[in-house]
Amino acid sequence: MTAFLSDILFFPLMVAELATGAIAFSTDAFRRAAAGADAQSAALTVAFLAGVSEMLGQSVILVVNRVPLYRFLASLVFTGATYVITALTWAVSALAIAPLTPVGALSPAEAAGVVGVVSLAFAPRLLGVFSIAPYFGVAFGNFLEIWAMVLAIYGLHIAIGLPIGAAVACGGAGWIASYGLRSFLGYALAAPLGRLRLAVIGSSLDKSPQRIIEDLIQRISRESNP
Amino acid sequence: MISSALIMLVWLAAATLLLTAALSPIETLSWWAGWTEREVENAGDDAAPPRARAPSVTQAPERYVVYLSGVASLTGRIAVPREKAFLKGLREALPDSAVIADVFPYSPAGLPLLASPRIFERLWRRIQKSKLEGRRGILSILINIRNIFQVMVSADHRYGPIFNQGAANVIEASLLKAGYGRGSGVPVAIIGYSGGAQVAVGAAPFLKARLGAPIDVVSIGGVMASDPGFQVVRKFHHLYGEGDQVQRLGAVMFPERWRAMAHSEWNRARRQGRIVAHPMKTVIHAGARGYFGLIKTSGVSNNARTLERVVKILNGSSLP
Repeated sequence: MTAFLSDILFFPLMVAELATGAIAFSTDAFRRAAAGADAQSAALTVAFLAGVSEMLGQSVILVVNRVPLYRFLASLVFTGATYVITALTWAVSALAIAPLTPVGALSPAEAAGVVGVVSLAFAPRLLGVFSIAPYFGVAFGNFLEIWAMVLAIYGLHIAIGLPIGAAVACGGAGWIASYGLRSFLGYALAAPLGRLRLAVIGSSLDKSPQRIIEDLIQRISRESNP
Repeated sequence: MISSALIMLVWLAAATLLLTAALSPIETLSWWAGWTEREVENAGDDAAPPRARAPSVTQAPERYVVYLSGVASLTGRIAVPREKAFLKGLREALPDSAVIADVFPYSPAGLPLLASPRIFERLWRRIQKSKLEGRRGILSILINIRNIFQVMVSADHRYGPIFNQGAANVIEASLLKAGYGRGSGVPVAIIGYSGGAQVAVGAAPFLKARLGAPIDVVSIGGVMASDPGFQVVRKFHHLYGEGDQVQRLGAVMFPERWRAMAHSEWNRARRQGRIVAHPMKTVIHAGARGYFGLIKTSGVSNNARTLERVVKILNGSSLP
């Protein structure tokens, strides 16, 4: 029974252990994420869960668009998957930049390690749900983003062995690429992504709270002064 | 050993506070999404917009005054003797005005904390009981924390518009029950004590659009952010005690109220002369030496001083 339970709990416990270690800048956590396939899967799970958490934190946009509950849950999974893709983009960009640094091109084993390290660097964003907190939540979300970037650079330096300058170049370039993916490519792919989002969430999420309120005030004014 | 236990306790308190903060917009969001419609309906009279006391005037009131209580309130009904005395004085001093004082401002649906079916209803009732018995235990701080987070929801650029629209609905319902005629142009003044001032400013744009009337806000030790509502408020009178550290904290913790943020709504309204400050010597935020304190110093109580200032302001602002 104990063996059965430990088998079931092995992976979730590893995810929790790696995430808490990464948040606390544990060298061991990043080295494990760079070295083992299990740990790399756990690190990708961290990125997925970070997306879910962050979406929960930003759920206001879903709620103001009055998205039904089941579609709300679907959007959490959708965002989690987006985060995994973002982590992979970040890792690929870091790998692409590596040959331009004194380190040179990384081996396939090191490449898998970079994926693990960068995914694990998303660990602070597991706290992304707290960006839902009123007034100071947005600033907290920005703080988590900076924390994740610093962790990625730290992980590349500690676990992959990149000199600090190369780690900054690779980590920074990866962050810029993932940011670019979210903004520029997001713009280019707005139509297909919008259709996909519409299919998953049931809303194009085109209304910000401010926009909704402006519409409301206009409507109220029309009703009051026909 | 003791120090590690203390550190653990501090961490636990910080985590609880963070969790409470994260949960605080849920009421607003679920109300807006319609997820709690059934609950609000089931709450019956408690959830319905509170009944306004009929104005004591025989003719149509010259002005409507809505009083929003501070963050220590549990319901729309004012239970604190000091505030009751202030409101009684206000009604007597403004016989031509309708004074409405039963709006609960810390819920977008106007749902008082004692209304069913709130999750923590029993806890709030227990706190209410101990408060009425004159015991101010640590639990009563929970009410303040809960309502402070609702003030922050109102001040937040993401949730504020939603919350404030709900608050405006509740205020409007009270005004209509008190006989207010939409489109009549009769001025409305909202007196907001402590966090009530934020809700008052936040609700102002919706009230103005809905009622078609000028909205003035009188803040008594108000704790408010630089809300977009400042663009709409005709005059914002800020009464503050020189010993009131709470309102001072409010001015610091909302960065858009800093002078450096020249383009914020607060600073723009200040430059336009629509924010008028009224300092009050030695007054603190709450209690016997607070704005509504009944203990007399130099023959006059703070309650009487505050009342005199508010009446003077209201009589001035109602002039054409």
